[in-house]
Amino acid sequence: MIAGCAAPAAQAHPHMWIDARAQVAFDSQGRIAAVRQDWQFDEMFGAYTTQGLERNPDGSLPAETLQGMAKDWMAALGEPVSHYFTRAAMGGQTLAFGPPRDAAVRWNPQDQRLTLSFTLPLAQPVAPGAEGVQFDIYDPTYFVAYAFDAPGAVALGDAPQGCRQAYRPPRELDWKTMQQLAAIPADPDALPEELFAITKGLTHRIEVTCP
Amino acid sequence: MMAARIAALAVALWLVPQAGWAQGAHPFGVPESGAGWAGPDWLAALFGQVSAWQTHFYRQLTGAVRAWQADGAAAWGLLGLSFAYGVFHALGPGHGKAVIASYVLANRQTARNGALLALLSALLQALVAIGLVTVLAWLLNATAPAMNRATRGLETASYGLIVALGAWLVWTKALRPWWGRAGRQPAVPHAHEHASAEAHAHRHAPEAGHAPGHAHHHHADCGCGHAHAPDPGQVAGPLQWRKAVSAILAMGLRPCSGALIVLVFALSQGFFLAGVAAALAMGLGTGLTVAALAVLAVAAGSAATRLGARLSAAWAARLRQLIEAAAALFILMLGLLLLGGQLAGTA
Repeated sequence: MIAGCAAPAAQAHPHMWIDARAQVAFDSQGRIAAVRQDWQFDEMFGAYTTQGLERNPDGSLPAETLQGMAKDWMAALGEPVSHYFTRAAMGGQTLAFGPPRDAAVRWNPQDQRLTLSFTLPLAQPVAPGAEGVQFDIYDPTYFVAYAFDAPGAVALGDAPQGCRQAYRPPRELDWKTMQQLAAIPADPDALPEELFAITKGLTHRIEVTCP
Repeated sequence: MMAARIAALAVALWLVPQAGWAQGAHPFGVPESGAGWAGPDWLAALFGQVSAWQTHFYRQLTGAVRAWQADGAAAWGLLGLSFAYGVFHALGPGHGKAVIASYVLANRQTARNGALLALLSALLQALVAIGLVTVLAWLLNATAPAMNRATRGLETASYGLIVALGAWLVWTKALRPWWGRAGRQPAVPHAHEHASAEAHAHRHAPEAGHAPGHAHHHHADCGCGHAHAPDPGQVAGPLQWRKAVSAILAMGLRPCSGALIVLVFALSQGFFLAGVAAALAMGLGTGLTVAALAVLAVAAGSAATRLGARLSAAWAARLRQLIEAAAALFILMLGLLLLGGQLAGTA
């Protein structure tokens, strides 16, 4: 019986799609200081989210509304369970982020798309060296599907000469992994590390090296 | 009546001042469609494939709405896509079909009634989504957070109903037959058959009420014997509305997020009709798929009873009773799990 072996679990398929851009920003000493991201949501999400909101005469949304959206989303994304859907690591060690900056939401009434932008600074800037720093961007609950398809979607900002970035798309979600994802207990504090282990290879990975 | 209630709910929600763009378990406030399910490998494999197809159809819906808007003949494109989305939505993990299948097993519903239950609850689900968006988004111009709250309220009500349904079924299918037996006499084989008939009496009791003596009346002509060979008259028998309504509400009260979002998108395009058509087509796809699953559950239940009947009539009754009790218990546990998760998430 299907019912007998069932257990509640995380959402197993995407409900929203994000066309994303990421820029890895360097400081004046050639260290990686932050990752700047733009997430453009799909138009159905845009239509749903902007439903019923008061508009300016030109069809745009009032600045306070957009600021409120950015504030709420960033607060929710900052929960340990979400972790801004972004991870940074060097030599297998996770790098901590400081509080996000410059969070803003833009609304394009023409194509009905919302874009959330924010800068996620590393708590401690690091020089990537030859070993490299890896950024992983993904929603471990698989509710959001990301795409870095646009030309120049992944870029370096103010990088020293010789630094390079390589982008690797996620491999297809295989069934075994999907099952593991579904079996994860809903303990927000324990979640990120465990999910990270399971979802290896399922992330959008940006590797930055400065050999 | 339903519309009036939704309208009342809407007004109540409208008065709540706080906005909140991030609600529920996920940072982005979109009504999530219930808890998923894990299972054995082959099931996870199936769900994975189903999910990929569902995504495939969902992503084409925006284009299909616009195509219809530009050219009336393209309506079939949207309807077909929505239907396919509904089919794959129903094949994926979800509690609705588990509730219907278990309900059908616990109540020894016929295949016809099981299919009818599935179709009606899917239709209700589509109508609730259409009603919600019509009232909240179209008439009241409510925002996404208000719609999410309304969805969440319906979801909680639906989970509460599953708990109530499960508790009631556990009482009638597992506890009452057992207590009744223990209270009368030490168990003798005959008592099993009797208990089974008593449980059974509910199904085809068009007469008003269920007097305690009622089961005895039926015992003579509908003992456990016909459980594994329902005659055509019973298969075609009317669905018991009072009982069935609770199951239909339990499954159909919470709208599917895919339908809500398509409806709001269609509204934003000034083409609400397309959203309504899409939601109904999704409901039809979901309903037919769950109906097929309900028919399968009925077949599996009768097969198990037939297997028991090879041993003896008493065994057949025992097995039947066990299946019913297990299905009833499953609904109760599922309901408690869903409701618990929901309330914990709200707190």
